[in-house]
Amino acid sequence: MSFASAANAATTATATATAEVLSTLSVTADSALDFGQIAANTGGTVTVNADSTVASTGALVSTGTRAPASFTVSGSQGAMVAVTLPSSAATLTRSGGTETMSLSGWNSNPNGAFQLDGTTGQGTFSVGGTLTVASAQVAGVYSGTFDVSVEYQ
Amino acid sequence: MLQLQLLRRLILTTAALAAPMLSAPAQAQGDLLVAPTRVVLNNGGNAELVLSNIGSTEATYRIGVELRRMTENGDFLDVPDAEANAAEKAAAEMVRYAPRRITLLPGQPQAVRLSARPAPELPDGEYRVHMSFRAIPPALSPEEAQKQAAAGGLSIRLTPIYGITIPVFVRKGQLAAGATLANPHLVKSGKEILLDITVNRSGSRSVYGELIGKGVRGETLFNLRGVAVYPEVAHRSVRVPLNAEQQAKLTAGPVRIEYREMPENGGQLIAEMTTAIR
Repeated sequence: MSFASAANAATTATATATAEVLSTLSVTADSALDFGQIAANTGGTVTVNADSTVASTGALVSTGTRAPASFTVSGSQGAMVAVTLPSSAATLTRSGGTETMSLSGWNSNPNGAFQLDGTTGQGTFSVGGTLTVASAQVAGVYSGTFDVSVEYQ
Repeated sequence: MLQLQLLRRLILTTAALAAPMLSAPAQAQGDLLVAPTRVVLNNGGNAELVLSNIGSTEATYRIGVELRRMTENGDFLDVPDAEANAAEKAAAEMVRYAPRRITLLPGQPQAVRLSARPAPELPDGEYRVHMSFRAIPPALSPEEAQKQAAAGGLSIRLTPIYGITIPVFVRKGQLAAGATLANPHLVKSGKEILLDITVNRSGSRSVYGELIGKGVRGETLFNLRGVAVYPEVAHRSVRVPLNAEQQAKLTAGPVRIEYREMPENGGQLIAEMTTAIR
């Protein structure tokens, strides 16, 4: 294809300009998913939901800040955006060890697709889940990753 | 190349415009912007995408191909490779792209080339993958690791690998699709009131457009942009968030709901209905 002629260039420019309407999408991370500090003896679960509600089972003591991960999406005004959460549990592994914990029960807020603001073209969403701690879980720093993505619907 | 330059300029402009609005959330390493956000290749072809680092530090991004299925609520489910069906596998195999890993300085854009060619023996249809652009998280600094280890108990460090996916459609053969609208009604979700509309799809490809609600005098009551129904679902529900004013106007008299192609695709009417809403 050649863009040599002015007519062609003009056509391309027009096409690009009109495509601009839905042509960009960006995502920024605002805060991390935080389960606070956990003192565990007997095992159990700690849940931090995307709507910021928290819960625990077993004899776990969880202190400190507990908060869902939050993200800001910027795109086209009034566009629908869908969030894809992990399809399976995330595994966290202890630094300097092989012990693991799992994080599942992924949920997002808003739950499902949502609409970007009609004026600013922005929206925010949060992600939470449930951490399962084994009884006699070895103390330490457990780290892991989880995938989250956004897409225009 | 001209197109890329225009796209770059467009992104730089967009980034500049977006900067004041983005100042509220702290910019993190790995923040990203992608354009365009939808690619349709009829009987195969090439496309160029642009990934831009909108974070405040250098970041490395991974580009890949993922599979998704739409649910009847319009959500996307991730499809692990092991669970992919024949059409999804064919789609993943026909898409070629490069590069697959990019390190970018803050504000730096980079083009990603994409091509797809359906094999001659494949049946006609719409093949779809979702191209993903994700930041690879940086390693934990030794100081931070030490600080966390010193805290005792169980400490959790979770790193989101967050990114953007865009649908890439490869259409083979002459495909057609249509849609109808049904059962618009108000639903309550928490404190929010939403208008739930069912979009029924027929034919051999996805449908895509905007849902527009118009009042008795033809005034626009809502406009939901970028509503798709993918071939794996025959119908889906679309929920339109409503404020009190929109709710009052929607229930005041008959409402016309239109499902139209996006304005940049000609804005042609796909489906419409006129009804009272309660």
